[in-house]
Amino acid sequence: MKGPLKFKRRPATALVAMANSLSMGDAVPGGELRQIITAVVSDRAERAALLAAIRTANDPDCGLAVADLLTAYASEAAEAEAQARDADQVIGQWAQRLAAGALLASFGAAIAGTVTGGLAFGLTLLSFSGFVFATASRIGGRGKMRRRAQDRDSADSLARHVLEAGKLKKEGK
Amino acid sequence: MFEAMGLETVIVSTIIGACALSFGASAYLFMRARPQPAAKDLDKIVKNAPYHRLHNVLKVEAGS
Repeated sequence: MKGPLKFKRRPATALVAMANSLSMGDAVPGGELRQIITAVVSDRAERAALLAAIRTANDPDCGLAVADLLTAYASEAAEAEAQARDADQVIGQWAQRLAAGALLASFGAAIAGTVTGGLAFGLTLLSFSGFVFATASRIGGRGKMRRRAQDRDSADSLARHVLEAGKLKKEGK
Repeated sequence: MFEAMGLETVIVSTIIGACALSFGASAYLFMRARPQPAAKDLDKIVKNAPYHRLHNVLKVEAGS
């Protein structure tokens, strides 16, 4: 696998440039770096371009710096995933249970005749909509969790491949 | 103090309180799940990356 001699300006080459710049002591804004890594990790063409660029690069440490950035991004994504899971299990689950409990309680009160008429209907409606809202918010939170898990896996595998590409370059294959 | 409260008041306020808590927690989860707004346009970042540091390492076209 040999890449082209001259690369276009694209997220993959921008990532190599940023990694090189960081290893030379220049500061790169963290938000921009994260955005570039997200763009590279989630796009197949960018991943392929990054591997080709690492294979073509003249500096053997270049791949190491890029792989380290990718690993740091993966651990950041893992942390975000753990936080999302905590929020889902601690807050989301209990919000759902509270609303379900309120729904059952309003049914019970209406059946027993403690609460009657419009008030009973209003309470049932309120707790039912609370349950629907809690379920919807949990689904949204779990979607984010899954996305972060996918980000972490892709960044991890890309970091491994970048290291491999650097090794191949060193061995002159 | 609480003796004067009827059973209906207790049940209704408990249910409304539970629903309010549940709504609050769900709203918090919704806020968390909202995607973070991008700090800058991706094209702009790609264009302004420090390519000058790559002059010996990798050849990158000057134009975008």
